[in-house]
Amino acid sequence: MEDLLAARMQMGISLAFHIIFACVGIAMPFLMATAHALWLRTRNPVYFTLTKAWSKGVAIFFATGAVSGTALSFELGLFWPKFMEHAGGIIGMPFSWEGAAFFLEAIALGIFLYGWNKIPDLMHWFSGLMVGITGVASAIFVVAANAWMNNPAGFDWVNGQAINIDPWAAMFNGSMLVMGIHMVIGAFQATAFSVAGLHALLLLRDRTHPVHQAAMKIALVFGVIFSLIQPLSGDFLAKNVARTQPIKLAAMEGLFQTEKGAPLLIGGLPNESKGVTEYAIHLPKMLSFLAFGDFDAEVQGLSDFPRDEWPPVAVTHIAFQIMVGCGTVLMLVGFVYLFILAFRREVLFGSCFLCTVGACTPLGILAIWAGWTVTEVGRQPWIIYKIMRTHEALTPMPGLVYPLILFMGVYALLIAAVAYLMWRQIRSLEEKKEWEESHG
Amino acid sequence: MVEFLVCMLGACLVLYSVFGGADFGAGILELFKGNSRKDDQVKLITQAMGPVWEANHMWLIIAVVVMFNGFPRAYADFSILFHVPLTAMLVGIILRGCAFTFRHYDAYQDQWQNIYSLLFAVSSAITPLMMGMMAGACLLGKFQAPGTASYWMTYIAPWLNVFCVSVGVFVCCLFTFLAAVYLNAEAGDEELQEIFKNRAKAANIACILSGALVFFSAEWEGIALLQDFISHPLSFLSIVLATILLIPLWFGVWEHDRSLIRFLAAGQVTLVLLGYFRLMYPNLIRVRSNTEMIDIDFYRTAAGPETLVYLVWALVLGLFLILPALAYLFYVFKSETFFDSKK
Repeated sequence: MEDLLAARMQMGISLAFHIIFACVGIAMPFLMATAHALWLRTRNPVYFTLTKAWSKGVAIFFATGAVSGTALSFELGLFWPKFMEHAGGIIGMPFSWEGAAFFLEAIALGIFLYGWNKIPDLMHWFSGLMVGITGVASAIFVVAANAWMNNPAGFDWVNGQAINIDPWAAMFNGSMLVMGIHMVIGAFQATAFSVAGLHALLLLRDRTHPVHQAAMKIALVFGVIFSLIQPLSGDFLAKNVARTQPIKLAAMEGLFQTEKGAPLLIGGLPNESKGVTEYAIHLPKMLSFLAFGDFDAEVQGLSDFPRDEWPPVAVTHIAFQIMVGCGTVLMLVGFVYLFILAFRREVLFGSCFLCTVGACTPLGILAIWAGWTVTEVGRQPWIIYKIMRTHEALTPMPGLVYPLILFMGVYALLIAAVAYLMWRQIRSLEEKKEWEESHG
Repeated sequence: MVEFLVCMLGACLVLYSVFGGADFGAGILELFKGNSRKDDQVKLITQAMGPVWEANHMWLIIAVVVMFNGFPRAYADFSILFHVPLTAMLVGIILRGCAFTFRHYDAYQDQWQNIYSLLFAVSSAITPLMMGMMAGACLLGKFQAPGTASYWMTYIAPWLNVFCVSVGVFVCCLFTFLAAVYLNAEAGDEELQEIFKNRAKAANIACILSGALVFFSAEWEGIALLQDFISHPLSFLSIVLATILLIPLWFGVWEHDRSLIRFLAAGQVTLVLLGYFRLMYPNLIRVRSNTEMIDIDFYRTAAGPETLVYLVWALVLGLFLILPALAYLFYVFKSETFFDSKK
């Protein structure tokens, strides 16, 4: 295998692995803090059991996320030393802030997990909430660095060197906020629906289980709120991409020819050699409207750009379809849940709705993977958009396929271990029934 | 500015060794549990590490951030030259953290505990071994510029040799010693205290032996380490001080105050590290082989002044937030080990 491909695959796999755990680390503390607050207010042992159960999940996911994140911070240098050499001085600042936020997160988690009966209730609850707040901050800082790779700012590139560096302008680049917000919302959406889905599946086995009922309700509230606002943030981001990376937008939409009043293509398979996207559903003028807010706006097609600057079109387009598809389904489920809450509360724990929510378990994560595929594959062949190509940044060390195999093995092992651990947590939850004992 | 950041980097590495290092040492101690009260030993280690290990680990993250933000070119070179040991270290970090957490949070206490324990102990040994080997390689300086020599000579030989292995073993011994001293102070009953006291003494002897080995193997690799130390008075002084501190450690203090001895042990580790830093400064990596490579020093590889100013502010601001929180964490979980531990 080519070294470049091996390095890209290892980065991709590491990110795909890390992001599941990172997302849970961002959103789960808020779900946990909600359950914890309900326990402190009502003293209903169901909420206590739920807080405890969720906090164990957070502990397992956070630890795995933290160590895989450590690996990622080193991998940036291990595989892309030339990138770090130039980018380190420009976008190091969000990384250093992220380091600080991450540090606070680890401290808060330690206090929360081990602080039961050791510190005042309010302080304990606050430490749990702080895990989430610092998690959100970490996410925004890290995404700021990625946003800079897509929309570089804060320096002048002269003869292969960055001069006039302004770290502040680099961090607050034009895509930082839209991308960060899209990611944070996505993390909440994915985590909330995974949790709700998991508890829904468990409810199918025991409809009256009070812990799972409470869990599903809390998670769905988060899931619905964030699924309904996500399309809005996606729209902002798409408009941003249309302005800053028109070639990525063209690849996302499978648009080969520049058009006024460009149609939105749904589904389909882009054929790079023929220069068309086959089998797609065309919605006339919709792309122009979505990208620029004007039905007759001109949208640049791929053929406007040099052939050697095209990203892999098919991967980018299909990944984008998957992301939007998953997001749409989650939004619809959100509407259904609101309808049920308003008019048909009795079907909330019926098999039909439970199956629907259960089926949504993987969709949010899938959307995040697909979304990052769009961002990263869609930026190729650049590592820093229009500044540095990915192959230029590669380490001179040969044989990169071996670390790839090693890390694939380690991650496969860990995924299996975490899945097995979660299964055992759930089984023990069903066996224990603490809330019944305390009711006498 | 550069000096300040180098000091910060050094401080992070010292804190990482004194706190995070002990967490690795605790894992290594699990390899030498002996026969008495194995489960209680594991329980104590889990209790002692649980609330703090993730925070302790963060000093490494801060160090990495300072490196690639403040000294991006040095970081790039370091990553290229040490690709293999860094990868091994990362696998160690990943497996250690996961195995520890999985063992603690598994819903059932069954045969899986043994697998997690083994993984935890072995990866706790690999990680500091790799760190020590890289530190040794930076001092030894047998590097070849990438592309000018074979894969072996460029990417393996600089760190896989007798001297670097000695340094790696020395680091493992130091961390184990720290862990045993800390655990002795945190142990609840006298029998357990005795166990870790003996472990600490054994580890201390291992430190002295492997430390001597470092100097001998340096001669063997053809570098005059002792002269190097003597020609840097501060380095020499810290090593001498660390050695002198062995006297109160061995005579008297054990019987007097187990909580104070932790400071003594941490002080020794700090002195050893400071000695190393002074010896290296202003270089991150020394190059002694005859190639076109030159020493990788902090001044030459520092980022521009704008970047450094922002980094310093970010660090100061960050520490302003982190230190009170960290103090609270240690106050909540470690204060009782100070008040109850006097005999």
